[in-house]
Amino acid sequence: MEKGVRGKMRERAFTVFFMFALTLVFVSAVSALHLATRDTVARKAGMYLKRAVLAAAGLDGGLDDAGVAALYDAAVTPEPDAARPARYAVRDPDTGAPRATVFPRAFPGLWGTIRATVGLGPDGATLTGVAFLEHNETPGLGARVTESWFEGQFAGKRGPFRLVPEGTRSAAVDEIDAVTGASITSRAVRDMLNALAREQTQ
Amino acid sequence: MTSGRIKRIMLGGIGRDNPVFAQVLGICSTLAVTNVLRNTVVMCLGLVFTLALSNLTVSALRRLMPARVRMMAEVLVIACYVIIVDIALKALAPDISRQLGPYVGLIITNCIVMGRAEAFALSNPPLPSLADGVAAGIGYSCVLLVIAFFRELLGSGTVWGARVLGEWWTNWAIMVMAPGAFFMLAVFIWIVKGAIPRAGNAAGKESGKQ
Amino acid sequence: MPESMNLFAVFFSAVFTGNILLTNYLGMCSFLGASREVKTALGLGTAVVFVMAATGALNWLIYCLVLVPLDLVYLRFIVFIVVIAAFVQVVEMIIERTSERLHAALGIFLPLITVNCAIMGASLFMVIRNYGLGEAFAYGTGSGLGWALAILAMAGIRQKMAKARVPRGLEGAGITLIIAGIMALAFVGFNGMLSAGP
Repeated sequence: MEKGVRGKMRERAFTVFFMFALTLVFVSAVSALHLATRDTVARKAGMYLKRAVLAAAGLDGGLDDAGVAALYDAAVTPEPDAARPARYAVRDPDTGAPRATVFPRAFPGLWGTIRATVGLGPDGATLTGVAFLEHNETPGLGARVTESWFEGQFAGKRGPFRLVPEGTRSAAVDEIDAVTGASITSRAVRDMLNALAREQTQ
Repeated sequence: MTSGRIKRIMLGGIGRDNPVFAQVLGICSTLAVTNVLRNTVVMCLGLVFTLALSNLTVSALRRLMPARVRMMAEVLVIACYVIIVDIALKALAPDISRQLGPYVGLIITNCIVMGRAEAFALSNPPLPSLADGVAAGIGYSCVLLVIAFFRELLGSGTVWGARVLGEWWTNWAIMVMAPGAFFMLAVFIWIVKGAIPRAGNAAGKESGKQ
Repeated sequence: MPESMNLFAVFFSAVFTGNILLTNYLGMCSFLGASREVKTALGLGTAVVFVMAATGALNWLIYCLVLVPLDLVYLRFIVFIVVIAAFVQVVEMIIERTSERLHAALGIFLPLITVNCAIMGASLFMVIRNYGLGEAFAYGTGSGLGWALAILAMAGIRQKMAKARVPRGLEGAGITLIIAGIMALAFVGFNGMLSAGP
């Protein structure tokens, strides 16, 4: 009886110890891996932002990472400062003339927040481009907003926008091709663009 | 003898004891990404990795593991491997990681991982457990890849992102949407059960027991 | 939109349009395994609603008050699943000691719940969508109810179907999946209700 109780105590202590040790080993392994890759991940994320800003200003041309970084430094000025940019002023890298103002936008999609960059030309109304940075839309449906035909259709258009079915390839200045099967995501994009246009004209 | 056994385990997991047909297990977390082939491949690789290593770890720890916290310990081990997959994806293939979003994390709750740990790794030595994990993972992946192939083909007219069906093809939007996966899996199971009557009978008995 | 309206929208979409089972396929294993009879389905459904609502809020608190301030977000998978597993175990112990009847009704389902993808999924989605505490709770409850609704409907249909003649290869899992597909189609139809007009 006595022994049984003590055995039980030891068993319990071992259980606690086991879980503790297991947690410690695995969590430290994972943390080590996280720390080791953190810089790579952060650098890649920064690269995405730079690419997205340039793409929204219509300056994307299949450059490698170094090319993007150089072009970004030459053409883009975060405003009001680099730490917490509210918008990016983009100049033409050759002439130095103002080319676009790029706005980072975050808006709710179907599943989660969608983050995008939207470029407006010097007139403050004509789009120079849109690039999607981050989203959690359904793969194969809403996630197709990152496909080049969708992202590429905005340059030269001006709102307020209407959606037309995918495949229309509309040339009208106020029409956007929606993504089939992703009406909520498409509407969210349209509403975000219209809201930005309203803000700018006020 | 050992190598013969491992071979048997491997073949069984892919064919006759295939987790999807024999038990219809674990389709939860991965079925959602089967509308695009490339995402499916990545998810499957992650799953095989997790399944193999968690089986190995659980098997290595099986004599030490107190029965009371068995589930907790298994879950912990599985979760760690999934985080490793997640971190690796973020660092090496950020594009795909962004596409898959939260689904990578859901590998943790994939019933196959837990199921193999409970059913096999807890009562077998590490090496066969590793083989069992790889086999179950590959068998599972095969099914999902076939489903993904047809869903992407019929739903978007593409394979691996490249257009194979011409402009004349009208996309079946339903295939990329949720119901498509259910129908596709059902039809697939139907065909396989029809083609392999023996496996069909075994599976029928299995589901009858539940 | 007023706060309460927003909560309702989150709740409604979790139950219907974004039904975690029929649009995200989460919790399929127990859905297929336990939808043979209405009684079992009801028991499991109840347990899921309860656990999902509680762990949704619990995980939100831990995520926002512990993980984010300490910059440990990358550990969220472990933390969420351990919280869920621990919560389920604690609930099981409490039920076992307090109510014999409840334990007889729910006891066998509780261990199944730890590996129910839907519960983990609800926690992960809630974090991704940047919900506040109220919304997280509404989302957890709604997802649980949506799941319970789907499995109850399925169990009802399967009970009716027990005597029907099904092609041999489709018996069991096959026909269940087809029914689930048709149900998913119906739930897709709820989509238009929340977002007005094109």
